[in-house]
Amino acid sequence: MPRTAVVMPKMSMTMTEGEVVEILVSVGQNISAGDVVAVVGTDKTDMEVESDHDGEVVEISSAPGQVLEVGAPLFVLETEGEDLLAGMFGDADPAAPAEETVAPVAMPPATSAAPNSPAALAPADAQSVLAMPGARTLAEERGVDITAIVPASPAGIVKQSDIPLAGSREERARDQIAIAVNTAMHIPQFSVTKRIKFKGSLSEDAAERFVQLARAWVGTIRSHTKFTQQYVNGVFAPANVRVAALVRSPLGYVSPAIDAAGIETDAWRQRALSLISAARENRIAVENLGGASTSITDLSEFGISSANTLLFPPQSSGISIGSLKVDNHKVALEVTLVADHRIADPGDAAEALVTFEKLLRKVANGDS
Amino acid sequence: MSERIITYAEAVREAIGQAMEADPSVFMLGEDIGVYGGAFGVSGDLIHRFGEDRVRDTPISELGIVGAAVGAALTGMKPIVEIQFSDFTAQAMDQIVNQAAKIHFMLGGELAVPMVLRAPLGSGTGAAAQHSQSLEAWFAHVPGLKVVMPSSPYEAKGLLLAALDDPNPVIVLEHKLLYKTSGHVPEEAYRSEIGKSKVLREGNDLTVVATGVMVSRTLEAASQLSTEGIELTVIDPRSLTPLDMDPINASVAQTGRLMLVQEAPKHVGFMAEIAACVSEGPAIYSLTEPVKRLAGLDVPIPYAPQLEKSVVPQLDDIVSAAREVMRGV
Repeated sequence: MPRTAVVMPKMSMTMTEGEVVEILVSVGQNISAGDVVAVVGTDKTDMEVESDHDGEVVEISSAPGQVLEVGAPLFVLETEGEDLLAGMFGDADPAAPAEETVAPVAMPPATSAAPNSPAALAPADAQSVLAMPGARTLAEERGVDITAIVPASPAGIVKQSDIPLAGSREERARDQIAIAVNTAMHIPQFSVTKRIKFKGSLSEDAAERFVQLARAWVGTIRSHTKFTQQYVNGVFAPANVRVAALVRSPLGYVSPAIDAAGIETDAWRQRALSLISAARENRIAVENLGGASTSITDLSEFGISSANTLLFPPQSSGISIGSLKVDNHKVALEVTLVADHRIADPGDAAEALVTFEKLLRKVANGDS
Repeated sequence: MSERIITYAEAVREAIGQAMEADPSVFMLGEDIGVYGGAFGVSGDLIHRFGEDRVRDTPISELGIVGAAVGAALTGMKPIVEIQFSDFTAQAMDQIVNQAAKIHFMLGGELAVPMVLRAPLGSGTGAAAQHSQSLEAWFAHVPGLKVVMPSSPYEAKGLLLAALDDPNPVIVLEHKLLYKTSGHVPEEAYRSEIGKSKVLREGNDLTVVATGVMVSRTLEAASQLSTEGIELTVIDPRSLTPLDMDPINASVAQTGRLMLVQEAPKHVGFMAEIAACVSEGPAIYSLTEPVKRLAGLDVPIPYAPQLEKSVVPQLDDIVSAAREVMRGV
């Protein structure tokens, strides 16, 4: 059973953190969506927090008096959910019962619809959804149930961009991908390809191979630090490298991302393997799907020679792996490094690929 | 031919001078507008050019000044009242609201009050809470009054001349900080249209409506944001009553985002009217983000200069509020 956090809610436009005043549940307790589960204090007033989920409390992760950022977990529930991607694309997969994604508890709606508005004629809970008026009409036009939408906005407001297009679940997923791809247009990217030959081999298992490639690649950019930078109104280096894998899921290819801290450890390997297996089974939480700073697109098992992938913000680099041949324990991989030209130049990429080659040889020989 | 650059105060003075030259019924009255040249130096040398009968110094009684002007207007004159600080209109409110604004209607349209009342408003001069308010919403709320807020030297002249053409009372609210600013002002006696909003800049990302001194501040913010790839449409309503919503609605339909900038306190301010008008019409369905109001704090203007600056929107506030709207909530 997946775990879902009940988090510090954003209760006003300006709220960035809140104080835990009281946690009203205890470990082992079963709660239902709508139950008052905690009291938090903002700069203005104390407010009750309601759970958005049914489930059993398995861990209390905060204590009265603590000041937490919006979105930080108050406590953790075990829910009966399985298909955590369901909410992302607007409705449930008919095959698997839909469950909640791990999303911030929406703030209680501040206003209700005017008596004569079309929304007032809709079912009661549609009214209670905080939404832009244009998003409501769009949802109506597209025949989408607005109550099933998980808004991308941190304030929990459903906007036009949250309303999926009509169509099958796969088509809607494709629409979401199309929106993401459009944002990739803003990154001026270049690519550099290098053929890397070595003795020894990489794992036959794709998830294990990701761990090997990630270790070599993260090691590379840790010494070629330009590639850990991002460009958002200027060059800056985020604190953490987050590396995305390419995984085939029932919904299509998805890119779960994992923080690279501790990548050398076995604990990290376990985390990466379980993330990939969750993605394969379509059980991945939405928060694990974005925010990668770099990515590894491993297409070697298809025997293609090379791939030129798109960078999605905030991602600034990525490598894709094509396989040329495996011959007498000699592997030849074609590695293409794609990078945001604002953070690095092709010469930097060429130098990085030389380092990557060295590290990959080490990994392949098992001495990493 | 190079464009002539003069200050806002000079533009106002030029408009008054040209109106007086063109029409013998135009005269000016107010406190210290004669020999002293006006509290903000607007009337300047007009007394020397037109004499004491047409540039009349009055006792310190705002009620008396406006009462005299209403009477003069009813008997065929075109008075231009100067109130030293717009805060002092509070003293003259009965004459403005119950007499000037209503007489035309109380007398079945038989008579009109072609009076223009000019008053400097706003903070930024260290004049504290009783001399720094932005009270435009008071007047905009009174049927029978027209209210204009010239945001540049060009509009200062054009709107004042248009106000003098109007057969009924027009309140002209001039921001004190603008008096010394300069801009292109043609020499001929041109008119700006009262009741027509002006689009000063076009961009596809965010519509910003601003009044008074906030217009130039917003334009500056717009050029700053443009270097970050955020393109603003900036609209100056110019006249608060009557209000022209068409360009605002059209722009919102295009950008889907609306930010409103005023110096006056946010609570029940003029910008609330614009937000309400947008939400009553089809433009609301184009909004992809909630409307953002950036306004003065709901406090009396403090005397301490740092505090005075901090209670009304400054350039940086406009820039960061616009970024916030673009990021979404």
